[in-house]
Amino acid sequence: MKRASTQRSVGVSTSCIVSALILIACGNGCAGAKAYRQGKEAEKRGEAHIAYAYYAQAAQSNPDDRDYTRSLKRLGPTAANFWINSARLAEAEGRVIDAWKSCMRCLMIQPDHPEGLAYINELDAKHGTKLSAVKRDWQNKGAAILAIKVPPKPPAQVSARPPVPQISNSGPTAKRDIAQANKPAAVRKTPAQKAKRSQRKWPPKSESPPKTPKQQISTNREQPTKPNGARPNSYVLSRDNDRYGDRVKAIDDLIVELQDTSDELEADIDLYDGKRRIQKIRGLKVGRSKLLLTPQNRWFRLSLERVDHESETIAFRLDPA
Amino acid sequence: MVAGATLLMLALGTGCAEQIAKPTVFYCEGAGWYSSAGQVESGLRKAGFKGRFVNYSWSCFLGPSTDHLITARSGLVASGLADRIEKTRRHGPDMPIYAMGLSAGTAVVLNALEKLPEGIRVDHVVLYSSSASSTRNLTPVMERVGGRLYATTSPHDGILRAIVTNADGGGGPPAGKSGFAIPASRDHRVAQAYSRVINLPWRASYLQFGWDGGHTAATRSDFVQHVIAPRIFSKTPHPLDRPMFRTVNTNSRPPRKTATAASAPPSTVGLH
Repeated sequence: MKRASTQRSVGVSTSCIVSALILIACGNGCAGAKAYRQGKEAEKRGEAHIAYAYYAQAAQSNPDDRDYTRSLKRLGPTAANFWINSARLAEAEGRVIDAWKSCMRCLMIQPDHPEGLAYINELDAKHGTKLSAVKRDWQNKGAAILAIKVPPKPPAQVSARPPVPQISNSGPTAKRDIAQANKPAAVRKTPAQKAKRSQRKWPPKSESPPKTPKQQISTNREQPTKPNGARPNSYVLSRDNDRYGDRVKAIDDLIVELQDTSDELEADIDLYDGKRRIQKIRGLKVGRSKLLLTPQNRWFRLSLERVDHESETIAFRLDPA
Repeated sequence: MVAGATLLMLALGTGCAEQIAKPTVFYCEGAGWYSSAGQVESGLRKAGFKGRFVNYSWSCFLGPSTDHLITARSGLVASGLADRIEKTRRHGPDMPIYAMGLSAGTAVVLNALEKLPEGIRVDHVVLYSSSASSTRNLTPVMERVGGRLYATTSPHDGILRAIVTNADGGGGPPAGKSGFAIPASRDHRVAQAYSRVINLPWRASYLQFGWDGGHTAATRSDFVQHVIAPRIFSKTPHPLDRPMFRTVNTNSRPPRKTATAASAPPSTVGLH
């Protein structure tokens, strides 16, 4: 009798251990799968650096998964280049520690990145004393200090989304569709809202010239607010207002294209050198600015002055940095 | 007559070529594993290495167990490698010498370095998936190393997880599993030595270069080219290097926390 109960208890404890092991394995697998899914989402949004970090997180616990390896190989060079560009922008904005961290992130992804290695030495030579604290942190804490901050999802994003369109082609329309589908439900507009919006009068449409085709580059500078033309570097772009185009050839052959606006008065802007996209600016708020390097290697500051989400219109300035 | 003269010329030519001092890599394969040298050499060549690559054959060819348990600890094997390093150093005093090994071959490298005479040094050492003991005191070794010692480690290394006896003959964990540990007595000599010892733990980003955390995959050509070569071919330490012994300023205060807005804090993703 006693023997039977002992056998039973051994059987129960064994099955408990097996269940616990299965649960732990599932937990690891699920965590990896979740990180991989988040990586895929970030990649669709065009954020290669965040996607890379998620893929790396997924692969950390499961290095044998071929999909993870392929994703890391695919995004590695893009992510490393993103961080080196971020480092240069951060230094130009006076954020030396951020510049150093971005450079280290680049080297974490690609330890022999020639530009990364040269640039970190350059930072050391120029700002050695300012960097001593963060370097000490690196020695003590390691990669933990290089973790990337991912902004929290807005609550609206939790609500049901329409199906994400298939990527049938890689043209700008397809990308816009994906961006539109990824937007939170509260920010997206229904077709009815769009139709209503197109009938509105701000900015006035009456004396508008024929609409500039979307892909045609316009040179529409904003009308000077003063008679003497005191705002020569101001531009207006619109995706709905016929009076303005959605892209403009600005300084140094830099092409600025408006991708999207949100009701939080933010704008998504892409910068092109000819047909090649050189920078993405996402979620730029009114009153904020972003540094950029023109195709002729001159630093400029793009300042967002106004956003009208109803007509998807923005006004911005480009000033030498 | 002409053929004889040509042969003589060729022999002289070969002899002269051997006399030219070049940077040299001494490599020791793993126990019973004889195919990683090609990968390592290829990786170094792709990274721009133009010197000599010497694959020091130390196996007794009686299988991996014999190599791991007996041959790797043989004083004769270690002396043989030490002699070759010494000759190379005396021939080219300013030429860089690198010592590398895989698995049990790392024990051969470490034993050979301990046997080097006073004043003979190698420049850098790389230990791939070392099966030498993690508690081995590297102080005598580092006195024969002018630069740095790198040791790759991985928790996903199935072979090192399974071995019961390390290549130094003890029961402790091998260094390739969890990295070398600093000895308890931390005098000046130890601090000096371990400030140049760097464990390179496996990270997911190394998957790009073919190292999936496995035992022999650490010698993949791409990994050697992109991760190891920039460290050993540079005079200054790599920015990502974190030596085992580093001075910690205990007086430094943590930064004061500033009040933040009531919004949800951003989550973070680590770069692995």
